[in-house]
Amino acid sequence: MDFKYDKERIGALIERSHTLAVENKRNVYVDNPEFLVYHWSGEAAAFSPNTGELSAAEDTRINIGDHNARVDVGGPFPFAKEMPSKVKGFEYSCGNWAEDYAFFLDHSPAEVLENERVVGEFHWMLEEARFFQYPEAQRKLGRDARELGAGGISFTHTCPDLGIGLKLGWGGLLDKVKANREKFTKYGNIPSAEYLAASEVVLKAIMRYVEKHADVAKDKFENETDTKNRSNYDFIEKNCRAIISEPPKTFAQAVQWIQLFTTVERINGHGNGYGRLDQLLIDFYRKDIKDGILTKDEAVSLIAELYLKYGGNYWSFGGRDINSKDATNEMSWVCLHAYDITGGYNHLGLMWHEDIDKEFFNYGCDVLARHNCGTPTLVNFDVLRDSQLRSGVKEEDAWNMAYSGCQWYCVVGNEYNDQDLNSFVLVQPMQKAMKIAEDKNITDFEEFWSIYDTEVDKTAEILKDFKNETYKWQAKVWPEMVTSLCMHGTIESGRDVTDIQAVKYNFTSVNVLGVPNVIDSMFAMKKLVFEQKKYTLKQLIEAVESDWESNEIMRYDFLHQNKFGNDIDDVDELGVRISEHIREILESKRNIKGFNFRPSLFQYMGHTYAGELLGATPDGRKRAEPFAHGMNPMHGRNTEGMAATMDSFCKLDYTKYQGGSFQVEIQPSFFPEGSRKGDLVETFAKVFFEKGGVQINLNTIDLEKLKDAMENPTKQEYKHLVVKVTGYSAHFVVLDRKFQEEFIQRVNYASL
Amino acid sequence: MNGEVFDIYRLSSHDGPGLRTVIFLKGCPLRCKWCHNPESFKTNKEVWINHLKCIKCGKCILECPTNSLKMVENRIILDRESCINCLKCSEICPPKAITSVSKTYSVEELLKIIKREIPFMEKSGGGVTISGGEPLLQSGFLIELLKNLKSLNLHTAVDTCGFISWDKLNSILPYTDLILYDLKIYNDELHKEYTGVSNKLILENLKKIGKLAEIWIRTPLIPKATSTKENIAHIGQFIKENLIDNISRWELCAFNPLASDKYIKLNMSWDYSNDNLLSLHELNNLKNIAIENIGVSEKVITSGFTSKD
Repeated sequence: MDFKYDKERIGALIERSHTLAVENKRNVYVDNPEFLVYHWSGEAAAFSPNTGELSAAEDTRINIGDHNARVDVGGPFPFAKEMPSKVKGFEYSCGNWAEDYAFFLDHSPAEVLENERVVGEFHWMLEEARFFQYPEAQRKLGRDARELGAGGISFTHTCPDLGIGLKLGWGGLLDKVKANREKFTKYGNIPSAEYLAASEVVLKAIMRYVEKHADVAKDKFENETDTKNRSNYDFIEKNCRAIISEPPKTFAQAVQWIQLFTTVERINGHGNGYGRLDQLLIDFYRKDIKDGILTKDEAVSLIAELYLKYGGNYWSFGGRDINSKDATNEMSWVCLHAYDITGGYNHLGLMWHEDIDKEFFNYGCDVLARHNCGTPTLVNFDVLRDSQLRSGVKEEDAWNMAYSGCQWYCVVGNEYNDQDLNSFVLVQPMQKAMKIAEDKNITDFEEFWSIYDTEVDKTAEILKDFKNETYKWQAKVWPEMVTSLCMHGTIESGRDVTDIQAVKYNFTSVNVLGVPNVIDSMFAMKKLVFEQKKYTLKQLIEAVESDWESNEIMRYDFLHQNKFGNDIDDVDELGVRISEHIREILESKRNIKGFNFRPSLFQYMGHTYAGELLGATPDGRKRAEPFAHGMNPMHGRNTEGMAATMDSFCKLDYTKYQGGSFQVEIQPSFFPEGSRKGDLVETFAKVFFEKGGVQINLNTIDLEKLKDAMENPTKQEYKHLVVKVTGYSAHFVVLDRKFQEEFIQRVNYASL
Repeated sequence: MNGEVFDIYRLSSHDGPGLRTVIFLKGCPLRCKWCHNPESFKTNKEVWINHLKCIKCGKCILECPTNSLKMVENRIILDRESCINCLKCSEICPPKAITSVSKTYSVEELLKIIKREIPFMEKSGGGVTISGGEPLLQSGFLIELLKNLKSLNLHTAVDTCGFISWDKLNSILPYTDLILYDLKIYNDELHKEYTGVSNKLILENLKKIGKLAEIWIRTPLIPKATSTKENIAHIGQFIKENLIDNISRWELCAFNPLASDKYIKLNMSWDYSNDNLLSLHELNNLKNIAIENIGVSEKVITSGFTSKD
C-alpha cells in the first residue's frame, strides 16, 4: 500500500530507532540466571536497574533484549544523590515515594528532537535513584521459595485504561484526586487521604513536565531557521501546551497525551500494556476527519511516531465490542498501516475471532509475513475472554480485553495480576519427589505421583506465602501512582493499584517452567522404571546427577520414549494430567487480596539458563541443553510435523490457563516463488485458533543468516534483523549469546 | 494393503498447490546421477548409518545374524552384499545411528497422518502428493491410497518420472487431479548416460497423458547435465509442440548439493557433493530460455536455492 507521509522524516526516526537498539541503548537487564528461572534474583526487587546502587555488575547481568522505553545516554541519574529520600530520609510510604518521583521528574530533561512531531522520552528510571527493596522478612521467604522451585516479583505488568485520562486530562485527574481527598479527610480515612495528597504531588509534577516540553519546543522554534523544523516545533508546542491541564481535543493531541502518559508512567517502572489503541482513538479520529483537520495518512504517520518513540508498545487491535460484535474499525487499519510503514521491532497484538473483518485479518497476516519481525502477534480473543470469564471476571468487564504483554492479556483498567512475573519451576518438585520415592523404595507410578503431588503443593504453598508477604508491603515499597491515575476505582478508594482492594481483579499469575520436560520425564520414568522395571530410581537419580556420564545407552533409552508434541495419545494424556494438576494446585491457593493463583503455560526465557541450575533430567536431556520453551515441545523432539504438534498442544483447554503461546520457526525456503506468504500465515493461524489455540508467534528464520549475524554482529545488513524471541521481539544482534544459541536450536519446520 | 514409505513431508508448499502432505514411496527404475533420494532406489527394506550419532557400543555387531557389521578404525562398516536387510541392528541401536530407510504403512495408517493435516489443506487449497522414487512401482498400493483420498474429497497429485507402462500410468488417472511429471533431459543418449534409461517411453507417455490430466512439468537444473541452454530449449520446444495447452506449469528446480549426507549414510559415492548452487543470474537466464521456447511466460516458474550473484 502506498501512504502519503514524509518519508524522509519518518525514515530518519526509523533509523534512529534501529541505531538506539543495536548500540545497546534500549536494553533491559536482569541480575543473573536465577532471575530468568525464578523471576527473582534475591538482589533487585524487579528487573535490574540500569544504573545506581542496586544495579548489577556489567559482567554478570543478562541483557534480555532491546525492549526498554528508556533511552540510554550513559552514566547514572545526575541528581541521584540529591533525591529527597536521600537528603531528608527514606521511608516506606507513598508520600516519601511521591516526593522522590516529583523531584526525579523535575530533574529529567524534556526531549524535543529533530524530525519529531510527537515527543516524550526518558533516560533514567526512578529505581536507579530511589531505594527499591523489600524488608528482610520478605526476602527470606523468597530464598525459601527458590529452594523449592518458585519465585517472583510484583511490579507493573498490568493494563491501565488510558480512556480515563484522555477524557479528563491531567487537570481533570487532579480535580478528581482533590475531591476524593476532601471526602476521605472529611470521613477521617487518613491513609486514603494521605495517598491522594501524594497523588497530587505526582500529578502536579507531571503537569510541570508536560509544560516543560511545550517550553522547550517553543525555545527551539524561536531559535530555528529551517521552515520544516519550525513547523514541527510549533506543532509540538501547541499540542503539549494544550494538554498541560485540559484533556486532548484533537487526534494529534490525544497521541501526544498518550506518549507523555507512557513516558511519565514507565519512568517509574517497567512495562505495561496500554490497551486497545483502535478503541482509544477512534472518536478523536472520526471527529478530526469529519472536521477536515486530519487525513488518514497524517493519522498513520502520527501513530508510526508513537510506535517509534516508545520502542515496542503492547497495543492491541481487533477483538470484540461490548455487544460481542467485531470491534475492528477505521482506526484498527490506521494502526496496522502505521506498523506497515515502520516495520521492525514492535509488540502489537491482533486479536482474532471468528467474526473479525476478514480483510483486516488477512492484511495483518500479510504484514506479519512481509516484515517478518513477529508483529503483529496473533491471539485468539474468544479464548482470552473465556479464560477470564471462567476465572470469575464479570461479563461486563471481560469483553474489554487487551493483549498486553508477551503472552498475557488484561481487562483494561480493572486488574492487577502479577502477569508474567512469577515463576514455578515444575522440574524441582519432580526432582524432590524422585529422591523421596527412592528413599521409600516406591515401585508404583501412582504412589510416585502421590509424592509428586505433595511436593508440587509444597512449592505452591511457599510461593503463596512469599507473594502474600510481598503484597503486604508493595504499596509502601513501590506504589505505582501514575498507573493508578488511569485505573477504575483507585482514586475513588484512595488506594494504589498495587494495594489490597484497589482494583476489581487481583489474581496471582504464575508462569510454569519446564512442563514439557516434566511430561517427557515422568512418561519415561513411568515406562522404564515403574512398568518395565528396566532401571531403578536409584540408578536413574545417579545417572542424571552425573549428567548421564557413563550412562549414554541408558540416556538413549529415556530419550527415545514417546515424547509430548507428536500427537501420541499415551504421553499427551499424561501431559494433560500434569498440566491440569499444576493448575488445580495453583487455583487452590488464595492470596491476601482474596483471589486465587492462576497458571500460565509460558515462561519467557528461563528455559535458556535453567539447564545449568537444575541439571540433567529423566527425559534424556543433558545439563547443558536448554529446557522446553513454554508449552512448546522440547527442541527437536516433535518429529511428526507441525499439525501433530498443534494437536498435542491443543489437547489442553486454554480457557483454563492464562495463556500459552505456540512458537513456530520456519525457513524462508518454505514459501514458494510467487506465493502470498500472508495467506499461508493466515492458514496456520486460523487452523490453530479453530483448535482452541490462544497465541501463535511466527518467525521465518534463515539459519545461515542468524549464524553469520552471531559472528558478525556489526555488519550493516544485520542492523534491522528482528526476531520474535518469545512473547517479545528483539534485534537479534543485541541478544544475549545464550538466547541466540537457543533460538538457533529451535525446531525449524523446513518440512512442516 | 501395505506400502513401503521412505519419507513423509508435512505441510509442504512445493509439491503441488497449497499445503500438502507428501508421501514418498520407495523404489525407482531410474538411477539419476544427481538423485537427492538415493534411499529410494531399491524397493526393499534396508538400513543406513548416521556415523555422527554412533557411540561405538558395538551392540549392532553382536545382533547381526550374518556378521555383516564390523568396527573398522572406530567406524561401523556394513557389508551390504551379505546383509539380508533383517533390520535387527536398527532395532537394537541405542542412539538410533542405524535406522531403517523406510517404514511399512497400511493405507489406514497413512490416512490417519493425512487426516490430521486436512484443515491446513482445506484452508490453503492443498491436498496430498504421492512421490518417490517412482510411486507407480507400488501401483497397487498407490491406487488404493488414491481411491481413499478421493473418497475424502482431497485433491491428489502424483509425482512420476514417467518411465512406467502406459497401462499403469493410465490406471491412476481416475483418482488423480494433478500429475507432476519429471522431464529431465531431451537428448536420449544423454538421458541414458545420466539416468540409466532411455527417455522414449517417458516422452510417449507424456504426450498421451497431457491430453487426459492436468500436468505440471518439472525439470531439475543439474550442473552440466540438465541445466544447459540446449536442453532447456529442446524441452521447451517439445512442450510447445505437444503439450502447451495441457500443462499448467513448467517448474525449473534449481539444484542443491544437500544430499551428500544421504550418500555417506548408504556408503555410496556421489559426484555432486562439491557442486555449487546456481546463481540467481544463471537461473533467470534459463528461465528466459524456457519462456522463449514455450512462448508463455506465466507458465514457467523457478524454485530452489540460488547463490548470491
